[in-house]
Amino acid sequence: MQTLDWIVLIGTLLLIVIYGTYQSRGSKNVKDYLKGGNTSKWWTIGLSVMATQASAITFLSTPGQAFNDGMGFVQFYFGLPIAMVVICMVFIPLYHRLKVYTAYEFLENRFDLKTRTLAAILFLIQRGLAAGITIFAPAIILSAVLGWNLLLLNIIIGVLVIIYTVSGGTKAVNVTQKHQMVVIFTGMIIAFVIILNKLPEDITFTKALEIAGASGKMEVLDFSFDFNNRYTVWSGLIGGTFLMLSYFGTDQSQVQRYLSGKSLKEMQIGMMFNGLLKVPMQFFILMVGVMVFVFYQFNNAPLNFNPAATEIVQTSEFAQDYNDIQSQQELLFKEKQALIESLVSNDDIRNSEKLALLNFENEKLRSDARTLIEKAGTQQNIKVESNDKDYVFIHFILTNLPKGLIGLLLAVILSAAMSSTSSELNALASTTTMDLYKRNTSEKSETEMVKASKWFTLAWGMIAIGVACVANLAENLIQLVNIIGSIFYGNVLGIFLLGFFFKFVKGNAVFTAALITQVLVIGLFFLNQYEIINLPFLWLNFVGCAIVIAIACLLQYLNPNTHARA
Amino acid sequence: MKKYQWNKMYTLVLAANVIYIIVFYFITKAF
Repeated sequence: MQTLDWIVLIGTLLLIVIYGTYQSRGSKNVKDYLKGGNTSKWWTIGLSVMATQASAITFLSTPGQAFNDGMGFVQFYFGLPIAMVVICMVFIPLYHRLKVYTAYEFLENRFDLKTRTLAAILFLIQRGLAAGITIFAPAIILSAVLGWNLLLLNIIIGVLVIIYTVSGGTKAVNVTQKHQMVVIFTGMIIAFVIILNKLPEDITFTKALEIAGASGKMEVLDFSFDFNNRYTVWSGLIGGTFLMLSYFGTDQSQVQRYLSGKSLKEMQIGMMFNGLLKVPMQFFILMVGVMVFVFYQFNNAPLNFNPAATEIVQTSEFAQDYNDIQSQQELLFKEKQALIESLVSNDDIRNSEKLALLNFENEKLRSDARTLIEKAGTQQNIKVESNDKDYVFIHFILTNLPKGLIGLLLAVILSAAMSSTSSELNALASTTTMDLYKRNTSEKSETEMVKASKWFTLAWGMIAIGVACVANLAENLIQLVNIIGSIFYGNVLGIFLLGFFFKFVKGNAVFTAALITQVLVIGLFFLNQYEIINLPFLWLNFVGCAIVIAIACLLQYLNPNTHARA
Repeated sequence: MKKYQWNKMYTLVLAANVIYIIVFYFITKAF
């Protein structure tokens, strides 16, 4: 990192924070603070929704995903446009008509207080933990590659977000997210152009795609019905639709973004904007990763992109074995160079097959290296991430981008972390204020409610920083957060769908069904963990949703008088 | 008033996404 990079990085982040805080100061009432005064236009909503979903990990991990496994991950988003249409037709008109502040408020209106409280608490547990991980996940990667202090980085990201989110609420989140998205798009486009420029002169974009295709990186679509294959057209369309419906329709961190819209129409257009651009955006980010893969066909790549992992193995008794693998990789690289030259000059199909084989061998070497790293880590009693997927893109940035642009790309990553975290804190505070605090205390004035919302935002910010700081100590916290998310999401979506489409089902049946479903979904999760059944986590959303609807309908049918309103 | 109203922009967004998938199909085939 050069001085210019520091100036660009700190300058960009501070400008956004200061501008956001200044622009959104002085919220006088709850509507201003939690719904941004209902002044957002469709492009603000669209960008805000995209910025909330795209966390730092999206920009660190997705190119690495394409580097390793190709473009197939884009299928995960195929259900998103369908979900957007359902949300625009069903969810948004209802939320708008009822003038709700949170998605869970609708549940009290439709069922009863206990169902609202249950859904709000499930959200708070899951999102509260996730907010910590949104900060921690990029911080651990940046601290590993740049040698920055992990705790300090967690605190800096958290405090910057707290400053503007506490001060300006939803308006501050929306204003900053617009600028953060501009920084993110600019940075990613510049990175893409630079990668293309760094390829040899005779390698055109089409040739680059052919080289990537020869190693199977351009297999975008997979129509197989293999349950073990996580990303297929079908899992994206079916599992993805349910996941996106839960996320955009019932997760307050997203619902709050469009509830700030000026009118019903603005909210709907904002969501359609997301439905139109999300798939191409993910395709583009994956393409950046594929081009990094092509770049490393012409340039020496490290055996493992995580410098911390390499250091551990190099100071262990496995250093010699590791260096041997590295030498083999260098020989393989030279062989690949000769082959690519002939592949570019004549389109002989046999050369493509040979290249695929060499890249397969390269993957095997990388896998052997990972095993050595794990052994070295176990021996030295150090927790080490041997899977270097998340480190590929940042390694490329730090070693190949000119000064100034490294700072900009780091600003992209930190902006993404901040934009997601701010939405999460904003939503956690709204849910705590409106669904728990307001509902369980005596009548409060507008000023008191705004003050309470600010305190709750601050408190959730501190909790998020706390979770981020202890995340490194807990063995599998990131995994745990993902599991909690997939376990709760389907159930909550099911509760909402019952509210929208199953008019005969009443509160008690839904509440009981939700509790039973939660136990069943946790049971299914453990059956999958112990390999008694085969049910990848993405399908838990669909299964949870289906079970809660079935049980609630059955309970209501068996006991038609089961209805209670708070 | 209809309960759930369809809108032209929904058709547009879904059609655009179908086109993306068709393009992806040809990319998969071509490379």
